[in-house]
Amino acid sequence: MKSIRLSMVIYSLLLLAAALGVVGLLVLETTSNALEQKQSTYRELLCTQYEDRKREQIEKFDERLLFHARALANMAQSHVVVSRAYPLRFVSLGLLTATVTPHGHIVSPLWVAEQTDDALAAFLGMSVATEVQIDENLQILGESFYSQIELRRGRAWRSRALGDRSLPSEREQFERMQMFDWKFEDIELFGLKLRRVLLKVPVVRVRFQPPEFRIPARPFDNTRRDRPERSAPPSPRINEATPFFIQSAVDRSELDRALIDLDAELKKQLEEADLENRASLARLSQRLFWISTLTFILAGIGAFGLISLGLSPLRRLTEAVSRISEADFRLHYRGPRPPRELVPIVERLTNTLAMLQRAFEREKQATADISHELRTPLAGLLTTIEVALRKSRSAEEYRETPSDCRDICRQLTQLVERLLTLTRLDSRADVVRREPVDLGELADQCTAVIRPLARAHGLDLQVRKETPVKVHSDPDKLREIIANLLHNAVEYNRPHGLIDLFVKTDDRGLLIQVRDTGVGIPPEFRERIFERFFRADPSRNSAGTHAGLGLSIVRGCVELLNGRIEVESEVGQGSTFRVFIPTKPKTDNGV
Amino acid sequence: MRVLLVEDNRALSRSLKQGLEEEGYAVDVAFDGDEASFKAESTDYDVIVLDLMLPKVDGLSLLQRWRAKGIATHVLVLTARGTLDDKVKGLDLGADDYLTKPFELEELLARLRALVRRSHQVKSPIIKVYDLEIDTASHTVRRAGREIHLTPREYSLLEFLAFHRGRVVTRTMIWEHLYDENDENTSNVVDVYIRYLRNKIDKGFSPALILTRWGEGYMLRGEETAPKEPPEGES
Repeated sequence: MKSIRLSMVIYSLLLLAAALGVVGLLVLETTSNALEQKQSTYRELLCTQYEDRKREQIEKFDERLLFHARALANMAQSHVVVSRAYPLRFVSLGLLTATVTPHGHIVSPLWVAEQTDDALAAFLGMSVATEVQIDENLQILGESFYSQIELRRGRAWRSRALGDRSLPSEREQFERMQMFDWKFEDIELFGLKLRRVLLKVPVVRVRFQPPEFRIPARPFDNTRRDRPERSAPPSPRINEATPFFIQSAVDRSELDRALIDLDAELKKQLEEADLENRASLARLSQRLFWISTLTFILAGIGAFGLISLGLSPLRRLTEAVSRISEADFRLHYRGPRPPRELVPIVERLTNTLAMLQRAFEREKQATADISHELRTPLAGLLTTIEVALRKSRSAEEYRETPSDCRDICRQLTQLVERLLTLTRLDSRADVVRREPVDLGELADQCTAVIRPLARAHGLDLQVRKETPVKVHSDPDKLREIIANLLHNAVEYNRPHGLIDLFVKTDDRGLLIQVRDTGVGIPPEFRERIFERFFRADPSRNSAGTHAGLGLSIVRGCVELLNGRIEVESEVGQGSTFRVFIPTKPKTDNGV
Repeated sequence: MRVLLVEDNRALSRSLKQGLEEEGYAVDVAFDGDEASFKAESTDYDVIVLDLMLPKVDGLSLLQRWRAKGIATHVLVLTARGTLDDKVKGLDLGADDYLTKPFELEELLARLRALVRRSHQVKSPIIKVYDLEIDTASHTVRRAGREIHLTPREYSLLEFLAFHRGRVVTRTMIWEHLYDENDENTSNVVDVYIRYLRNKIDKGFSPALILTRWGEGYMLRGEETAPKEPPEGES
């Protein structure tokens, strides 16, 4: 047996759980999406930031490298010494000019060039320049740079850090580069990871100088050509000039370390962000879980209470119904008025119970009456037989016993017949069979049966008919009505009284009237005489055959035929029973 | 013993009256409440057998009326209604016993015997006077171990004397309890029956148990054992 309350609670909780689950999942999904998005944005931002920082690092590193290279270039540009060309000054050209022209030695081209410092001299100088002298003690150059300066003709200068080693000349790359251009690259050399810058600058001045005589380098003027526009076309003069191929490399492990540190930092930050993200998601789902659980519990309690409250009328009805017993048929619905849904049930139950109680009481009464009516003759029968058997008797005495028993049995038979008739009427098992009936003939038949009894009581029985007396009705029921009314009239008449039966018909129906000159019926009993076993004066028919059922049968038959019965009576003067039965089809709408 | 039988069913009433009379009871019959009321108030019955559903006045009202008037006669209620409610109500209103119709005659008789005993404060069914034993259940009488055959009327007389043993009962008392309303009261009928009884009970036995009190009536000795004084006034 499932309880409504329990199932309703379970259903609502299931519904609630489903709703909470869906809402929770949605919230979790949305939030985690948002978090994910935020996270990826943050990641991107972080990555970009770190990329920038790395680039910055590299740029700074490169700048330093480039600065170094430029410094070198600057110094180199002004410290190209053509020591090997120096002898040419006099040896070849000088000799030539001196020999070709008078005072030729004066116009020696190198000399001219030296004096004029023009392009030709530069060209000449550069074409033959082989050496660059740089004062490596200058702090600016640093110690850790692997630098190398080359000319087209060959290696011109190597930094002290290089020692005996040299950097690959990369001539092809240099040739492809434009003047003043530079290029960074990573190389692996001497078992080291190096960052290198290639810088191509023109040689702008050449100093012819004997090797043993070196002038100290002038300070490097950085302002003049600090950051040339890469896009600016180099002047044709410079373009054509002899270039320096300057390489400067430095161990990039420091940079790498910095970069690795940055990467590690990035990774750590990302992980932290991830962790935080996950943690906040976990916190959220936990919070959601607790909220859901709390809601669920509260809603469960609420549902239980509300459903209990909602079901309380039903409970009260159940209580009221369970209080119904054989002793008390009423429905005691306690508390406020029942809700609208229950009103029909309560009303129907109340009515049904009232009907049941009436039926029950009628039945109880009838059973008691029937049992009384049956048991008394039975007791008589039994006692008569037992008395007869107690001792031996004469034949005459013995004969009396069955004779007495027969009388009792007849009485019982009639009683049983009447009870059966009433039961049939009660259960509506009797069907009305209408057929043409001569009411006068019927009255004659009944009086013929009853006349001997009336005579035995010393009564006068007369029949009056009003023509026409032909009707369409159920002859059996009519016979039952007339016979019982006549019986009644005989039973309750006074000696030498009169019984008057009058029948007539008109267009509305038929009338049966039985008048007697008997004891009459006191007004307080007028209604009750039709109850079964009721006797206004029980002494009258204590030994009779009616047993108080005659008028009940009459009423049953009259009701079956949709008729009505009236009583007129005066105590001591007699009673008149009038039965009216409609024969018109329009009023005959019952059976 | 005199019984009032109140029963409206003629057949039952007649059979019962016959059965009771053959048991030695004096039976008066009443067919309705009024008749029963009148008879019960005018005669001292040993037991009343009362049907409940009666014409005019019903049995329970009668019972109530009698008890209110102080009539303490034991009443056995006979009814066709066998429900517990009816029984309880009947017993509460002062009925002494209850029997539902239809009943066995033997049962009715046994209950009547018990009621008669109770009305005389006798519990044991066997009454002993010296060597005389009266079995009120089987209506048998023994003296000195010998069975004595008595007619129902003789037995009733002896039983009546036995119930009043040690006390004098008048001829009127005997008449009233042993004869019904229809019997003719002839002056010496009681004396005649006493003589019959003495012939059977006392003749050939000693001591004589039925004593005559001149001018008063008769008495059965009351002691169960040997007499304290010699018997007096024998006749």
